[in-house]
Amino acid sequence: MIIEASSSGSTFVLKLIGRMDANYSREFDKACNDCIAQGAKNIIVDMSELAYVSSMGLRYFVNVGKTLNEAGGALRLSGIHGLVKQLFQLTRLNDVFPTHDSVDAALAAI
Amino acid sequence: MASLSLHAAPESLPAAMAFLRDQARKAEIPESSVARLDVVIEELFLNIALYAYEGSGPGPVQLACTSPSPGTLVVELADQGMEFNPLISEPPNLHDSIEERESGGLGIFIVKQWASAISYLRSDGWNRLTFTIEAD
Repeated sequence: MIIEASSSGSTFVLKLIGRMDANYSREFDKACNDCIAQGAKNIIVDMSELAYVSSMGLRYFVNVGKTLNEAGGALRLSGIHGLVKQLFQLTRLNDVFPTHDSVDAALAAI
Repeated sequence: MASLSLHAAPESLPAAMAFLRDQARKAEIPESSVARLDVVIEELFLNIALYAYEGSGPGPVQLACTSPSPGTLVVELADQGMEFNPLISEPPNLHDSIEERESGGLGIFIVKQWASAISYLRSDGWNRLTFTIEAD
């Protein structure tokens, strides 16, 4: 999996490309924590090119979401589709995180 | 029946996934269900690889597949690690609010939702977990 990071102020965008297995879940967690260390209040996760996520990955979404929520921000999902969308729906995590059709829509909602 | 024996280590997961994908396609499982099988096997295999032989050194994990009919794949995962029934677990809370959500417990919940006829047996020192993957 490739993680492309960009930021504007306290809003960070992480684009995930490929498959988030257990190993890459930890990289995602690290990337999020790096953003938080740099002052991220909101993290938009662009999942438009993410094809797979393991249960360990879901765990990190919850943990990062909690951290951002406690700081008054949020973890926002963008472009979720396919198997990954099925997993978020099954575990009702799609109701936990604000979800958006695109990164632009997520940015507009902040 | 097709079978594969691997070391119970995280590095063996890609081989386990490749074997099961191949068997699933031979069993005429549609690609959407093959993708779900990846999630199921990653959860179950890593549980064995990370915890089954804790404190006792590495051991084997055996995968066996049968296809009783086209579109159905029965998978058995067997290990000689400590006795552990992954099906005995508290269901996760699925609260809508992030504050009340817990991060654990989702893996086995997903397995139970996406695999059918799932059963556990401890026999002659082996943990044997059997499940069925069908067209969704």
